Amino acid sequence: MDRRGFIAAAGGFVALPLIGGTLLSMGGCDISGTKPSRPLQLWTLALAPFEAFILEQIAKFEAANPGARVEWTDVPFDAIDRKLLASAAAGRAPDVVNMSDRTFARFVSMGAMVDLLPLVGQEARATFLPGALRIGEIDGKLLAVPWYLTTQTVLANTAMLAAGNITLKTLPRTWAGLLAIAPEFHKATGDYLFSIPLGYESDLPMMFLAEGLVPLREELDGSGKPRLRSDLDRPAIAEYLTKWVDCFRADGLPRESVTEGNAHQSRMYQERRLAVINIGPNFLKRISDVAPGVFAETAVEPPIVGALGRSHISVMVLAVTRQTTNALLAAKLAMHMASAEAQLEICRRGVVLPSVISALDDPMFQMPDPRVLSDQAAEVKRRIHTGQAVTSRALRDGTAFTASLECWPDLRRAFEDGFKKVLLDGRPLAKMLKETSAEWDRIVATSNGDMSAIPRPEPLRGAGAMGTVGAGEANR
Amino acid sequence: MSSLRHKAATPYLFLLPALAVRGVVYVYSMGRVVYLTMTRDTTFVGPDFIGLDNYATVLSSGQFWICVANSFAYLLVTPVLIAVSLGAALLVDSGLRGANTLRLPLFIPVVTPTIVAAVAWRLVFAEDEGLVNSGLRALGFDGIRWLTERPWTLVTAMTVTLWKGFGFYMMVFVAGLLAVPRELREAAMIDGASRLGVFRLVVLPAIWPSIILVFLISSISALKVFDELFVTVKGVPIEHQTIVPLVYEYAFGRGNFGIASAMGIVLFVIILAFSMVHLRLARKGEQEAAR
Repeated sequence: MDRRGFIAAAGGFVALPLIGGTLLSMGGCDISGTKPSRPLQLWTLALAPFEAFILEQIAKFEAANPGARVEWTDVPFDAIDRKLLASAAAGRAPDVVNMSDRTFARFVSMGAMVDLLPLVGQEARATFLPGALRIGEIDGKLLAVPWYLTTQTVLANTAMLAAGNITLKTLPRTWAGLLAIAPEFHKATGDYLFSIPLGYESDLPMMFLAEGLVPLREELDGSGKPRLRSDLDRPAIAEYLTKWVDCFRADGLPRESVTEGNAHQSRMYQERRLAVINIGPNFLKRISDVAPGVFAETAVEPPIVGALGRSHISVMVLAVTRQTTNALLAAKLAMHMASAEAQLEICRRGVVLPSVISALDDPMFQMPDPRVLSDQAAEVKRRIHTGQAVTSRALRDGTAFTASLECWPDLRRAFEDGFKKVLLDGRPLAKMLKETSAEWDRIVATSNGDMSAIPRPEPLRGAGAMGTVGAGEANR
Repeated sequence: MSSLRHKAATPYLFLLPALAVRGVVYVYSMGRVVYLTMTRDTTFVGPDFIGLDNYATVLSSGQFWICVANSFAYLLVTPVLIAVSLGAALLVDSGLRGANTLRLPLFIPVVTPTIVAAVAWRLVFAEDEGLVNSGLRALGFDGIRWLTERPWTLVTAMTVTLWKGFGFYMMVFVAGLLAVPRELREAAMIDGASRLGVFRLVVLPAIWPSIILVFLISSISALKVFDELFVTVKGVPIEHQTIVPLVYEYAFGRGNFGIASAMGIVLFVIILAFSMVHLRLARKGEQEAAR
């Protein structure tokens, strides 16, 4: 090779990665209008087991919208935040993304979503359960449509309860009732009666609302305009939290409840270290697979509720991100996936519930006949079906106890940070509430929203005793 | 003349591709991070330039300085790491029967993925039924809150770092020991030096550069520790952890890349300053020893 050839080859070798890298990075640029055939990117959350369902729905959508193409990516539950942030930072966020109500609130605060109302019209709102739709309605915009829902059911290990002299009839059906006997149960058995995430991924902000303890209030500012203010340090909330702190300090709750989030409940239940968990009925399948002994001792009961008597609904939403290059088509895709037909189909294939009002009358959501099935596989199916029926009943009265406030994730995080220190570092609760309340005031001062964003349903008749299904009914 | 110039340029031309890739990967990324430090929440909405506000926020944050202090506390693992890995290297190099075969088992932790190691150690340190607490209780002591109470959270993660890292540093020391001429040791012994004397006066000065290297690398690793804390004590208050988990929390927990990047840059400056001071002291020590 002569000198020129050598220099040309070296130059080419250097230039190639640079040009390639530049071209690759251009792939993330907004090319709206220039390439209508660019496939829509659809991200779902932990739906890999429903691959056939998703592919069928995509095929139907593509057939109904000639020229449209959809590329599907399933993202693990734990990775959605990180992956969506990273892709958005690179300018490659998906067009349509499925996320949980918690994750959704966080991305709303970043201005990540497109308002769907101008794209799908007001009439679309009427098809969804109001309690589920509320999650996506923020500041008069529709930033997401509800997809499938999950609500909780109680799984109780009857053998463990018996060891602590508790039966399904005497098992308290409210959080307050469980807190009162949990330390005694631990002393008697060495195991834990129940647990919820208290610190990391804390359920408590949601449970304030389920107890009818609204931690925010409205106040008029200097110009007479209503502004949100923290009400976290009011005596009723302090009293409520004191019960949890006392129970934790008396070893009535495991330390994992502070640090391990939701994951600790299922793990400890499988290990026979936790007698009662409030969880989605799909977990029954996992127990039957990995811990058949525990499954045999498990009874399915109505969910534990707060003072309002209403169970919490977790809403999976579909949203269109701001980085989409075709918002109209993306909104169409979201509505297609959330249609009544598609929702019933996913409910048939998994233990989830629909967010479309008309779908709840389907026979699938009626209680199964306990006399029909008897072998082990059928028993698993029967119990899962029971769980689904129990939760669908709870759904009619349930509420998504998640405030539709952009700043709700920040408020939750501030609470979690403070409450962890109360539980693990022994910080006084009153001091923490005062400090966190000041932090909340700082957060809400820089955010939009009013009290209408906070779910404040009326208590159910007879609330505090049980949910919407009689105790023991589910196990008959 | 022209041929000479050509010859002089040739090595640089060969280096160019690697330098170009490095430039894209490091220089561009670094520039991007510095840019992010001067913006606020730009992920979806677009750039919002705020100057040096993020640095001011970081430097005035109590949480940040607590985590920096924890990072420096984590440096306590370094001398232990050096002592253990040097001890293991001396054992392997001792010439004792079978000692050489210890290399493989001692090196296994290095090739074990950190996540696997941390999960295993998490089980060992589990507070209710873990191996360590069960042992302590059997001896009549109270169990220790290894995974949830400060400072034990740091001690737990440091144990994983120690276990995971000592095999690699042992190999560095073994290489250093192999470079010490056997004749020197023998001559010292003939002159009446004890084993400790040979080690102190012959071996230690000879492997001093290896010790400096291990100290520097392990210190920088300790300041940047993340995996061990993320797996073993994830979920404890962030004030129980070190600086990199705090950066992660701001970037991927809160989506605030501006603050996270500013923390990253401050950490970079701290590590750079630490390394420079350390190198200067080490060089000074080396020169004094040579005199």
